[in-house]
Amino acid sequence: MCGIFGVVGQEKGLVSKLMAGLSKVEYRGYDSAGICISRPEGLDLKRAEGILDNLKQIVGDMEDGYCGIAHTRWATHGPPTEENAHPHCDPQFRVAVVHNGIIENEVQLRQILIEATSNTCFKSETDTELVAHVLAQEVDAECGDAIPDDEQLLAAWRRSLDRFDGSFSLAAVVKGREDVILVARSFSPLILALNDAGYLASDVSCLIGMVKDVFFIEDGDWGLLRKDGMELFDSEGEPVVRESTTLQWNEEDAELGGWPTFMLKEINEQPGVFRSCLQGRLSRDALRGVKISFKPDLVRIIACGTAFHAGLMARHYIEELSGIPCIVDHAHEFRYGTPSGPKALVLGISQSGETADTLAGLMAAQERGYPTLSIVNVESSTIARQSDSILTIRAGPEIGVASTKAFTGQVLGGLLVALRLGRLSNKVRSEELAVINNAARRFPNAMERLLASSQLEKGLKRARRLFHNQDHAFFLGRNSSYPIALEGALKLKEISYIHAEGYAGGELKHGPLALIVDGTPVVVISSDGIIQQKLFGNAREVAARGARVIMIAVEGDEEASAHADVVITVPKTHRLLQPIMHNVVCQLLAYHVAIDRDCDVDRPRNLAKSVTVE
Amino acid sequence: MLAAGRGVRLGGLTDSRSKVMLPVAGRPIIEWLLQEMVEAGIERATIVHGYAGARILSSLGSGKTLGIELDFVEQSSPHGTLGAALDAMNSLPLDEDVLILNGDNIVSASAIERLMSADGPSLLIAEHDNPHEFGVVTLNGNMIAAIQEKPQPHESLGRVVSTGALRCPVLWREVFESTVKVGLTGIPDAIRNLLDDDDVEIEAIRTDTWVDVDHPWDLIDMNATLLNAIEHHVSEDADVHPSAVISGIVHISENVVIHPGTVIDGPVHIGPNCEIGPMAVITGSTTVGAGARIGPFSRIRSSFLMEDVQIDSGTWLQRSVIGPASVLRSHVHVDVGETQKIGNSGEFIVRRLGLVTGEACTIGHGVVSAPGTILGSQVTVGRRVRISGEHPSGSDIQSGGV
Repeated sequence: MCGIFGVVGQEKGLVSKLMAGLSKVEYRGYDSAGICISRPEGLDLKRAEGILDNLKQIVGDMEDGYCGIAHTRWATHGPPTEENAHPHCDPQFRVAVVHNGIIENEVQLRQILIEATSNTCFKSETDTELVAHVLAQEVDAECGDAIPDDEQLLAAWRRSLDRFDGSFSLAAVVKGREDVILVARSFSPLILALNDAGYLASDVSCLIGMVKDVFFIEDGDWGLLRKDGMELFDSEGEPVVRESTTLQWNEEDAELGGWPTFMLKEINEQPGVFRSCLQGRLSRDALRGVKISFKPDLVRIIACGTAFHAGLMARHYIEELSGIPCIVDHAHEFRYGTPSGPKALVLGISQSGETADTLAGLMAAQERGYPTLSIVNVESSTIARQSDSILTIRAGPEIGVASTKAFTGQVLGGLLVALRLGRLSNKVRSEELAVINNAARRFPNAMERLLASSQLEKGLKRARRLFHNQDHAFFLGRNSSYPIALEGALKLKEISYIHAEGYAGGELKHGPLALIVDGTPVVVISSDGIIQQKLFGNAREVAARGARVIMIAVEGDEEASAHADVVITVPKTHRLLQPIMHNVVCQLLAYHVAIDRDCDVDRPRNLAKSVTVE
Repeated sequence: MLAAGRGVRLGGLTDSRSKVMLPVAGRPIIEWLLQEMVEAGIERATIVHGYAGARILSSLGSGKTLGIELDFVEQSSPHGTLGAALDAMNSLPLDEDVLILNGDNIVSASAIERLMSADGPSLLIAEHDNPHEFGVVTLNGNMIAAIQEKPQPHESLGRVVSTGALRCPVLWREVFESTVKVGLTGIPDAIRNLLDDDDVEIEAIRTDTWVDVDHPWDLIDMNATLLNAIEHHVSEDADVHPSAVISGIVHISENVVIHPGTVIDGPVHIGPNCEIGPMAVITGSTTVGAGARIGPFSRIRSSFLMEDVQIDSGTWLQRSVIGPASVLRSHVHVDVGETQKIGNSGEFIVRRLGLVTGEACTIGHGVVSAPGTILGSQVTVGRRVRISGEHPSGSDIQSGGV
C-alpha cells in the first residue's frame, strides 16, 4: 500500500521518469498522487487528488530537475484530498517527504510539535507531515539556515528517525542538496538501485526496465542515496553494505500489451503460471525444490485475503495427503494470538511477500521457535528473506489488485508442500506422485481449452445477466470446492462491489438461506461423488426460494443442468486440481459482472495491492 | 498482420489456439514472421486477432522482446481477410502505404524488403506444387494480370500463386469496403476488382522462401524448414547425461533432463522442462515442445510434438504431429507412408505422413497407427487397437482393425 518512487542524478527527463515509475506502482494506491522536484532555488511540489491521470494533467509544464521523489497514496490518515497527498513539506518548504506505512506515535508527536512551537500549523491530517516537521527542525538544529553537509544531514536524519515508532519506509529531499535523497526503512518495503541514476522504490515492479540490479535494504537501515552510490547504516548507526540482486522479471511482464486490463491479462496467464510453478519440481516420481527438513506434528498456515483461501486449499491437500493436522488462520488473528502446541511448521502465504500481517505472524512464530516456510511470488521480498525456507510460485508480476494468477500458484504451492509432507509421512507413494504428475502435465492445456471455449463465453454471457440490478450474491461449495466459493465471492465483491458471500453448502440452512430472495444469483461450485449430490440438493433448496442458480460443473456432468439456470462446464482433470479449474470461471464471472457495472477492475475502490500496513 | 482465423483445416490442433500460435520449431509461427519483419526494418505492426486472441496477446506482449512495437485490434466482423485488413487500416493515415501480411505463413526478410522498396502497389508471389489451394496469378511481364482464388481441380492455370503478402495504399480500403459489401471476403477478390474495374497496376515480386501451413502435414514441412534456422544451444540449466549423444544442430532449453544413452541427432529443438530417455532416439527435423516427457527406447523422427506431450517407452513415431497434452503409451507403432488426402478444391494431395493427433488424445499401449491417421482432440484409443483414417474429436476407439 502506497507507492514510493525517487530518482537522484537524472540529467534530463526527470518528470517523465518519475511519472513512469509511479504508473507502475499505482496499484499500491490511487487515492492521490504527487511529486516533488528538488532544485537549487527550492522545492517544486505538484499533487492531485484521485488517480494518477489527474496528476499527469498538471505536471506537463513542470520543469525538469536533477532529483525528485514521488508517491501514490492509499489513504490511512485523513481523506484522499490534495492537502493529504504526499509529498509533505515543513512550513518553510525546506524538506519534502514521501512515506509508506504508519507512524504509530503520531498523536504524541503532534502534541510535542504543537507545544514546542506556538505557531506550528499543519496543512494536512497525515502522520507524514509530522516527519517533514521533525526533519526540518533537526536540520535547523544542525546547521541553522545554512545548507547542511553530509554529516549534518545524516545526524539530523538519525535523530528524526529515533523519534518515530511504527512501520515506515521514508524518502526525503532537502533544499540545497539535490545530490542526495534521504532514505529509511522500518518494516515497510524499500528498494534501492543504481544505474544511470540512483533509484528508490517500494516495489521492484517500478524499477523493471530502468535497472538490472537492486539492493534490498534491511529493516532498520537508513542513510543517503546518491547518483552513483549509497551510504547506509543499520539501526545501531553502524555503516552497512547490502548485496545487490539481479531482477528476475522483464519490463514486458509488467505491461498491458494488447490487454484492456491487467486482471484479464493475468487470468489468461494462468496456464503458463501453472507450468512454470511446477517446472523442475514435479517429475515422473520425484519431488524437488520443496525443502521441509522434518515431519511436523501440526501445520499452521497464516495468510490474508486471497492467499488465505489458497491456505484453505492447502489444508485440504495437507490433511488428505499427509494425514498431518492443519490449522489455517488469518495472519492478523494468529499474530496477536498465543499459538502453542506440538512441533509445528508455520506456513505463510503472500503474493507480494510484503504483507505486513503475514510477515509479523511469521516473525512471531519464529520468536516462539517454530520453523517457517513461505509460499511467495516475489522471490526477493521481505517475507522470503525472513522465512527459514521458501517456495516461489513464479507467477511473474501481478499488477491487478484483485489477485488471480497468484492464487493458482499459491494453491499449487500448497499442493507441493502437501506432497512433500506426504512423502515425509510415507503416505504418498511414487505411483501416486506419477499419477498427479501426469495429470498436472495435461492441466495447462485443459485450462487453455477452457479459456478458448465458446461454451465458456456463452455461459458467462448468460450468467452475467443474472447479476443485473442485484446487490447480493452467494457462492456455495463443499469440501475442496468450499475455498473456491469463498474466493469467488471475494473476487466479486472486490471488483464489482456486489455484496457476496461464500458458504459451505451444509451451512446454508443455518442462516444464509434467510437471505435468498427472488432473483438472488447463487453460484454453485460443483465437486464430485457424494458431495456433488449434496450440492445439487443445496441448489434445489435455493432455487425453490427464487434464486437463480449458476452451476460450475465438469464436462459430461449430465445432471448439473437439471439443477441450474446456467451451467458452465470445465474440462475434467485430477480431483485435486479440479478446484483450480473451477476458480477460473469464478474469476471471469466476477470480471465480466464488474465490467457490466462499469467498475474499474484494476483499481477497485478503497483497495490496493500489497497490504503493507496492518 | 492478419491473425484472426482459426485454421479450421488443422482440426483439433487449433482447439485452444489459432494457427499463428502453433509453436513450430520452438516458437509460434507468428513470432518467426515477426522476426523476419524486424530484420527487414519494420518498427511497428498492428495485429488483427479474433479466434483465441487471448493466446496471441499473452504470447506477444507489447512486442518489445521481439524488437517491434505492436498494436492489437480485434476483428470486428467475420468478413475474412478483407474484414481483418479493414479493421487494421481504419486507423491508418490515408496518404500512406500499408503492408498486409498473413500471420500464419512465413516470408523472408528480403522479400519484405523488396515489397517495401517497390515503386508502388506490389504483391508477393511464389511457385507452389498445389496451386489450387491458393489464389493463382497470371502475369504480364512484372505486373499482375489476373488472379483467381482457389480454382477448380480441372482448371490448369500455372503454378504461380499469391502469398497474400500485399503492399498497397491505405486508400484502397474503399475498394476493400465495396468488395465486402457485395459479399466477397478475400483480399484476392479485392485485387481482382481493382484489376478489372480500375486502372491499377500491381507489381509482382517473386520469392522462393515462402512457407505456408494449411493442412496438418504442412506443419511437418514447415517444422523442417524452420529447424534449419535454429542455432546449436545447450542451456546451462539443462541436465544432459554424459553418456547421451548429441550431434548436429540441437537446441536444448532450460530445465531439460536427458537421461543416459539417449541419442539426439539434429536439427532438433527441445523446449524447456522436457525429460527424455534413457535410451531414447530423436532424429532429424524434430521439435519436442515444452514439458514433454519421452520414455525409454522410444524413437522419434521428423515430427512435431507440441507442449506437455507424454510418450512412454518403446514407441516409434515418424513424420507425425502430436497435439499438446497428448499421451502415447508404450510400444505405440506409427507407420509412415504415402497418403492421399483431398485438398481445399477437391484435388488430390499425396504426402508421406505418420499420425496426427489433436489436443489431449490418449493412445493406448501397443496401438498400431496406419499411415496418414488423423485424430481430433480428446480422442481415446484403447490398448492394441489398429487405427487408420480420420476420427473426430471426442472419439473413443476401443476395437481394432478399423
